[in-house]
Amino acid sequence: MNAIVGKRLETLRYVFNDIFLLGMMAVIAGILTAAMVMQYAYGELPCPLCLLQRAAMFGVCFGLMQNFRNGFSDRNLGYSLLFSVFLLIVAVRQTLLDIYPRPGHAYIGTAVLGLHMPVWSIVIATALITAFALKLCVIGTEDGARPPARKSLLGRLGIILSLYVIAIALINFGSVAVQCGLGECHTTGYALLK
Amino acid sequence: MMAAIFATLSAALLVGWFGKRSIAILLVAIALVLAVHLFLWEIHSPEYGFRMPWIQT
Repeated sequence: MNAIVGKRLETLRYVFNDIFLLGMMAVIAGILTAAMVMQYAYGELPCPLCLLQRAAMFGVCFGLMQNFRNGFSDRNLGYSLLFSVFLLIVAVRQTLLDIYPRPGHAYIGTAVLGLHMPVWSIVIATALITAFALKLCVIGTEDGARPPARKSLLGRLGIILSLYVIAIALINFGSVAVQCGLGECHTTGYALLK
Repeated sequence: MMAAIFATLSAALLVGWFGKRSIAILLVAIALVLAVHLFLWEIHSPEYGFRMPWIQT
């Protein structure tokens, strides 16, 4: 009886882990999509540090995606955490650059709920690091666990989300190439369209 | 440089998707090194270095 309950609890833990990591990937994909909407629909070109923050978020997604593609591993968690810390460092530095208004330095872009993008990035990075810590505290490690079956609901969601992240990464690559070319990035316009 | 970062990151995501894990990890590591290098270059000022004298403590 205890063995059956234990096995069911273990299965539940795996399912909860899948849902938690898929949720994290969905939230990051949503944030990156919102940034792209601001760029393409409202003409708000990202600054170099803003682009580095996007790159950091794709790096976080890399670790999450690897779990659903090649099996769960603490190393994947490590990649995601590494990029989360990088996101936090870049966001804090950009916030400090613009925190004191002076010529040539001000928060660029539209404020969302009163906060500008680098401040939101601090919130996002802190939330990501906290989420990984909570996952380890509550769900524990899943090192060595196999990814969900491809035909299951969670497996399909993992594939769809992963492909979506790859697609927006490729769009961002194209966009960065047009905006920056092979040189510095500027928010004044797309370098290759001038 | 930024284009190179996004190129290696996109390649890492793609290669990881197709199951070449070790190559994907190498690519993502290269992307991180390039990103850190560009970040340090972006925040370095010829006048202030890495200091932020506009913040009074």
